[in-house]
Parts: sequence; structure tokens; C-alpha cells
Amino acid sequence: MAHILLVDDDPIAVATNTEAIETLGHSVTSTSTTAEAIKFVRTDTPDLVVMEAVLGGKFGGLDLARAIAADYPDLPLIMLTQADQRLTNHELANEDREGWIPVRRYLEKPVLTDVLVDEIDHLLPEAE
Amino acid sequence: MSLPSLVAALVALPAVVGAILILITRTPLRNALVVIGGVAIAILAVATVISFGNTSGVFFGLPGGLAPGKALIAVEIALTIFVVVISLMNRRFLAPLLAVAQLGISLYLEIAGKMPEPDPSRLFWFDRLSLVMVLVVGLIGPLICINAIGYMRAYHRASPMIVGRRTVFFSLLFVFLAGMFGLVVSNYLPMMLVFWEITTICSFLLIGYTRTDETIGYAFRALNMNLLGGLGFGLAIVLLSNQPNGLDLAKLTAGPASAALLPAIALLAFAGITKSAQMPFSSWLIGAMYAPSPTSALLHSSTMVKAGVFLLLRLSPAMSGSTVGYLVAFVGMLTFLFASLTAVTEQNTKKVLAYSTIGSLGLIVGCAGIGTPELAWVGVMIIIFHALAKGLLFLVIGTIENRLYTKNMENFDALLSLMPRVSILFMIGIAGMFIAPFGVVIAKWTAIRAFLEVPGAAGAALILIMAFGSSLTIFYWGKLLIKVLSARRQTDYERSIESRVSRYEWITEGAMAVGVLLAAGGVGVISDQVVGPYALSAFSATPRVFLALDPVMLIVMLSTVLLLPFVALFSWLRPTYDHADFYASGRSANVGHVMGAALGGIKKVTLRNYYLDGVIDGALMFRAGTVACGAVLVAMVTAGMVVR
Amino acid sequence: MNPAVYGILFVVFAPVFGGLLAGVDRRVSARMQGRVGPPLLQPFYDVGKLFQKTTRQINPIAEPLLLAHVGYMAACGALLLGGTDLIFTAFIFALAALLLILAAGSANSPFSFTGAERELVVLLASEPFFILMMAAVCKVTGVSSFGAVLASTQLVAVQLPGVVLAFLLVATIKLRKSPFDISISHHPHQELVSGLTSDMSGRLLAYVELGHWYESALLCTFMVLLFNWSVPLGIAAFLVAYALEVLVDNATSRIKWQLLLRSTWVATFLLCGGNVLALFLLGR
Repeated sequence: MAHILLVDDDPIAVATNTEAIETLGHSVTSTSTTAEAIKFVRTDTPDLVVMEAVLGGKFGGLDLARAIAADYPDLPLIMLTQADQRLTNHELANEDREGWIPVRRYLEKPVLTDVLVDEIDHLLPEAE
Repeated sequence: MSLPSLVAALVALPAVVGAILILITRTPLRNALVVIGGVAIAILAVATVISFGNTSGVFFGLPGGLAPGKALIAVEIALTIFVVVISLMNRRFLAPLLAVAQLGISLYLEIAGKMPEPDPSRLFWFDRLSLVMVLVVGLIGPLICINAIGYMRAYHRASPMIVGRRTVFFSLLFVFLAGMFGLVVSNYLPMMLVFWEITTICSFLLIGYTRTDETIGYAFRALNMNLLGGLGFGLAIVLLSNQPNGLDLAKLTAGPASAALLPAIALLAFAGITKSAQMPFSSWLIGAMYAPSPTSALLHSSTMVKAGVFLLLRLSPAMSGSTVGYLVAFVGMLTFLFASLTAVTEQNTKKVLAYSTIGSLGLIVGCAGIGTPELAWVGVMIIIFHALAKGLLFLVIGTIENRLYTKNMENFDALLSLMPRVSILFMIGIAGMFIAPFGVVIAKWTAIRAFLEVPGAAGAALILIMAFGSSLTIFYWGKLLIKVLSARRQTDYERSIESRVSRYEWITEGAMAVGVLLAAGGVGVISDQVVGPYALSAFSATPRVFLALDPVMLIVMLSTVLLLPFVALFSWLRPTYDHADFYASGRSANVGHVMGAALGGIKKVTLRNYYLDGVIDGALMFRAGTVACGAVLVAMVTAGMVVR
Repeated sequence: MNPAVYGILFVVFAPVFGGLLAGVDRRVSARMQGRVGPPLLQPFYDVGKLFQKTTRQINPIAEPLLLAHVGYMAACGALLLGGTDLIFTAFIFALAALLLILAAGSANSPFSFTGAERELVVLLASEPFFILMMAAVCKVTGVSSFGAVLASTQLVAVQLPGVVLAFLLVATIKLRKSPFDISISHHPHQELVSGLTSDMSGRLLAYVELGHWYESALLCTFMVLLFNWSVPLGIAAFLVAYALEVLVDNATSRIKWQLLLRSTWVATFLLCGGNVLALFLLGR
């Protein structure tokens, strides 16, 4: 029974993913901006964060990931993004730059909800 | 160029490319070198085959009649030091023990002067079996290396936190190819052993690539099991060093082995069994599925495991008719049966492919153990068709896994809609594995006919295993095929999935698929020109027909070759067909595969395959197979030592 | 006569045989249930009607798959009578059965999919038998083509009683008779709606019927193979067996797939396996 934070400004994605994660028995909170997300992480320490890279039309999610990882290096992060080729060229100037973004998994939408649920399951630290 | 120089180039080129790759860190340069190196290797392989011509076998040595003795020892020492260091760094102790034991044997033989001088003109042996192996390794190997460029890019992108060591990865792929080439042309057993161990170590390093605790564990399991086999190989060499011509593989296996040679043959068979992941040594191959998919494709379908069955096929004439041979055959056939039983219960697609590989290898081992020309023919045919089809399947699974982020076949629902082009390639691969009359099925058919000739209870048992085992393979491939062939309306997002597949993946997977189709269509030519003559010369047998195909059969065969791909293309090219909704007790469904639920609302439809729980317990089957084959293996080695 | 001619005759006349058999089946079943039953030619009228109905396509791939299913069933018989290797035809038979499964599963719907999975279990249950049967026939007679087996002096059924018994069991499955009709049935109130054919309509259903007729004819041909010394006896044996099947169908209820798989495998292993073992030990 973990606490998952979902950061996405697309209401359909939020609804679908929230429902899927809740079937696992976890509780889900969703926010749609970087600021809200950071505030939530600081106050409510979730067990895992799933975030979209493109928020409000800009790549706020990337900075969000770096900010969270800097302060909470053990918090598993999943990036679930519909970012297209723009992101590829912009961020991956050197594709071998491992660790270009400090998330455990970088998944491109669309992702089957079963798959998302599997990934979360794998990444959550084993609770007793 | 002469055959010997081509062969030398074939072994040297990948080694050189591998060495250079270790020094290159810039990606575009590395990719270019991988492509150029791969293409060069393929061209060399084809050139070697063309220059072979039409003899039954050629022997040659190193230029200047050099003896390799000292060089071999030097390489062995280097490899052993490497194993010891890396094992101790990871606090593993079995591997260094095995490695040091093996080195100890070689040093003892060398120092005590017990190693006889090899015939310098018979260090290498190139016959039609080497030809087949050179083509398999030389054409499929480079395709996998080039595919890996696209695969690894997506793989690392999806897991940004895994430290990538692609420099090492690609370098290892090529060094591995060098080891395989050396192995399949060796006639001098100590030299073959060195190449054998090179492949063991490359496999170990590739499996442990991601350096997670899990993969390191599996890597060491592979290392231990293969080193154990290598130790058996080394012990065989000790026994053979006392025999005249003992270390000359061709002379050793020219005919049924004398009682004095049987113990060594049994030990060599043991080595072959560990390397081809037969039970009880199958768990290393299953563990290797946790490595990136090109590793699985290269090592565990197309090349490394083929080294084990290659050795067993070489030994086949020597084992023929003996108790050792029969017991080896049963290790293989029982492995086939139990691996097929376990595969039925697996949801992880890569593991299904792995069990299928173990099973197919088991069939080859079964054929090698019985040792007739027909069965040798079957064994080589399986090598060819399995390498092509399974290699394709692993590459395709890798592509799918990188885009759908899953290996669970339950998530491959409606693949035909999500990734239509990839589905076609997938279907060609699956068809190649189990649909008549693609190669593997042709081989099974011929195997059944050949087993009918095996006398006594053994023959009956072999036929029974074939009947039940083949049915099981139809079941698990059929399940996968249903998932792949189903369709549903895509959402807009989903339409874009295939656009992300890299061109490296398209080109290499497409080429493999074409290879599968060509081989299936050309099975008659392959049989007449290569495999048939090989089987005849290996057993010094009278000419016979191996593949009795009448024209109607040929037509039926060609139609099946084209069937699934045509059917898939048909569906893909008709997107405006009136796609109705499926039947869901009167409540019609809509986009995204949902249906109206009983009390209002919408429910997602999920369909799960049968895994036969309650009837077959997969874990139990695997353990049963391990125990059964372990017992037969012990019996085999004992029989080899004791039977006079 | 050139065996190829027999092959062509099979392709043309097998559906007639199968359809008539289906018609007799329905008539006799009806009488057993105290009804009058439809005319004997009803199956043909039904298939004709189906071709005229609209076909709703869920997944367009189902149609070519079903056409291939019928095609390979027909080809199997043609190959068999035409003199192709018996074991090879067993593999083609499996392929034909598989194509029906794929067509049903491609609809990706709950009822069809479950029907397809169960049919796959049926295939798993029955396939070992067919391979063993063909292998055993080849072993007994020492030849591997239909014509040669018929011409052989070895009496197959006499030497393979276990195989004949197992055939009766497996035929129940292939003919879709209770208690083994787990994936598709002609009874209206099935738990899987219509199982395999839930999402097939119009000409797709017609193809399934045609395929089933070819399959019946094939099973009859297999029986003739077993009673190789007299073709009329073989056909008669098949008809007697079929009558028994109809009786059993009306008298039993469906069993679960787990029991089907276990019982068929055990029976195949004991009956066929035992028979084959005896063959090998007696040193043919």
C-alpha cells in the first residue's frame, strides 16, 4: 500500500493511470504543475513519482525530475511522456550520455496500463 | 584467396574489430565500425564458403607449420587470471576453482611432456558442417550486432539509470564471433578448447552487462556451468593424450569409437551438453534472458549454444550405437520433453523462446546421440532453421519490448493493430519454428521417420517423446500467435508506436525474415548440396534420399511459407474494412477494447491465455527434467568410464 | 488409377460425404430425442443460406485464415490419398486445425477467445494421438503412403488394437461430440455462447461448416487406413463408430478441459504408447 504521485496535465491520462494504479491497492495523488509537485513531494513524501515531461507546453517535467532526484536520490522516478522527436534532438545531443535524466524508467506514451502497473510494482522498494 | 587464408581472416577480423571497438567512445564512429565490420564479416563468410568448393573436407595448419602449443597455454593463462580476478572481486569461489583446475590440467600435460606433438597440417578442419556453421555465425552474427545498435539506444533511453558500457558490449559481441569461428574450424582439440572458453567468458560478460545483482548472479551461473563443461573437455584431453591421434578430432570421430576412446568421448559429450544448456544445465540459459535481447539472440539462439550441439554432431559417428550414445540421446530428448512442458506455463515471452531453444537443442542432441546419417541430417537442418527463426524472434521481441515496455505475452494483445509491420516479422519467425513445412518441422518429420528405425524400447520411447513434445510446441506457439494476430481499433496515440522503431532494427529484422523464407523455400537445395553430402561423408554411408518431396508436397510447402505473411499483409492493407464490434452478450463495445458492464459503466476487456495451471506445474516440470536428465547424464558418463 | 486422381476426388466429394453425415447425425439425434428432425440435406441448405447472409467482419484477417483452414483440410485429404508420407499429412492436419483456432482468436473477444484457447487445448490433447497413429501404421506396414498401406499384407487394426480404441476416444473430440465438445457445439445454450464461432457470421460460418465436413471425411479416411485390408470395412467401421459417438453425445454432458486433456493424454499414452512399445519390442 504505497503512495504514488502522478504529475500530468492531461486529464484523460491522469484518470486512466490513477484507476490502474489504484487497482494495485496504492493511493494516488495527482498534480498538474511542477510547483505543486515539488510542494507535494516535500510535504507528503510519496513512495514513487510518475511524471510527464511536457507540462503546460514546456519541458517542465525534466527540471522537476532533476530537482526531485537532487533532494531525494532514493525516490524512484518514472517518466511517462508523450514528448516526441523534439525532445529527442533537444536532449539527446550525445546519446551515450547515460544518466541524462535521473529517472529509473523513461517510457514513451502510449503505455499499456498493465505495463505501467508492472513497472511501478518493480520499482517500489520492498515493503515488509 | 585460398581457403586457409580466408579462414584465418575470418577468425582474425572480428577479433581485430573487437579490439578496436574497445578504444572508440564516440557513438557515431562506433556505429559505423559495427556496420562496416559486420558487413565485412558477412562477405568474408560467403567468400570462405564459395572457395570451399566440393570436397568432403579440407585440413590445414598455420603458416610455416607453426605449432600452437605455447600460444594456447599463454591464452589459457590469461583467461584463467581474468576469471580468478573477476570472480574474487565479486566474491565467487566456484568459478576460479574450476578455471584453475582446468589450467592445472593443461600445465601438467605441457610440463610433464605428455602433450603429444600435433600434426601441423591438421590443426584446422573445414568441411560442410563447418561451412554451415560459418554461414550461420557469419551471416546471422553481424545482423544481430547491427540490430543491437538500434536496440541498445532504445534500451538505455528507457532505463537512464543503468550505466551503459556499450563500448564493451559491442566489443564483446565481435570477440565472441571470433571465438565461434575459431571453434568451428578447429581440428586440434586443445585449440578448440581455448576457443570454447573464449565463448564461455564472452557469454559471462555479456549476461552480466547491466551489473545488477540479479544479472551478476545469472552470469556466474552461466560461467560455472560452462567452466564445468570445459573441465570435462580438459579431462577428455588428458585421456586422449595417451591415444595415437587422440587429439585429432576428425580421426577421433571417423567411426564408432573403440572401448579405449569411449571415456573421453563421454567427457566431450558432457562438455557439449553443458554448453548447449541441456538439462540439468538449462538454468543458465534461462537466466541469460535477463540480458539485453541482442545477447539472447546471439548467444542463445544463433551461436554459442550451437557450439555445444556442433561438438555433439562431430562426436555423433563415434557415439553411434554405443550405450554412451543412447544415453546422450535421452538426455537430449528428455530435455526436449520437459522444456516443452515448462514452456507451456510461461508468460514471459523471452523465457518461452528460451525453453523452446533448449527443446530444439535437445532434439539435435537426441539425433546426435543415436548417430545415423538421417539423424545427422536432421540435426544440421535444425541448426540452420532454428538459428534463423529463433534469431529473428529474439530480435523482434527486443524491438517490441523496447516499444511496449513489456515481455509478458499477455500484453502483446492485438499486436497486429499496435505494430502491424513488426507483427508480420514476428509471424514469419513463429511460422519458421512450428508450422509445416518450415525447416524445423521438416526436421521433426524426418526425425520421426528415422526414430522408427531405432530398435527396441528406445525407439518406442523416442517416438512417444516426439509425439507429445511436438504437440506441446504447437500449443505454446499457437497461443502466442493468437495474441499476435488479434486486432482492435487503435487509439491515435497507439498509431505512432511503430514509427519509433529504428532503421537498424527494420533492416536487420527484415533481412532475417527474408532469410527464413528463402531457407524454407530452398530446403531442397540446402539438403542436396550441403546437408545431405555432409551426412553421407560423416558416416561414410551409401547415397540415399533424405528429403522425399513430391511436387504436390512442394506446392503445399510453398503455400505455407507464404501463408501467414500474406494473411497479415492482407489485413494490414485493408484498414477501411467494416470493423464491427465483437460480441459481448449484446452490449456493443467501442474503441480501446472495452465493453458495457452489467450495472452500467464500461469495463476493460482483458483476455488471458491458458497456462494449464492445475494440469502442468511449470516449476515442477523443470525440476523433474533436471533430475531425470541429471540421472541419465551421470549414467552416461559412468557408462563411458566403465563399459569396456 | 493415378493416386493424384484420388486426391482430386477427395477434394470434390469429401464435403458431400461430410454434409450427408451431418444431416444423418441431426436426423438420428432428433429421433433419439423424440423429435422428427430436419431433412437429410439440411446441412447443405444451411450452408447455402449462410453464403447469402451478410458477414460482419470483426477482424478482417479471419476470412483468409478460415479459407486457409478449409484449404488445408482439403489438401490434407488430397495429400493423403495422393500418396504423400503419412506423418507429413499428420502435421498438415494439425496446421489446418490451428488455422481455425487462429481465426477464432483473432476477434479478440471474450467468447471467441476462450473458445479458441479451449480448441487449442483440444489440439494439444489430440495431436499426440495422430502422430503416434501415423507412426505406428508406418512401423507395422513398413511403408509410408496411403496406397502402399492399403496394398500391404499386414493387417493394421489387428496389430494396433490400442490405436483403434484411442482413435474412438479422439474422434469424439474431433467430431465435437459430448463429453468433449468444450470449444464449440451445435447445442444452443452453451456456456460460451457459440464458443469458437461466436464472432463469425455469414460466409465465415459456412467455411467452418465446410472445414468440419472435410474433417469428418478425413477421419473416415484414417479409419480406412487402420482397416487397411478392406475399404468397405473401414468405411463401415467409421460409420459404426460415428453412430456410437452420436449415442454418447446424447447421453453425456460436457466435461472440463482439464479432465479432457488429462484423460486423453493418459489414454493416448497407455493405449497408443503401449501398442507402439509392443510393436518395437516384438522387433518389426
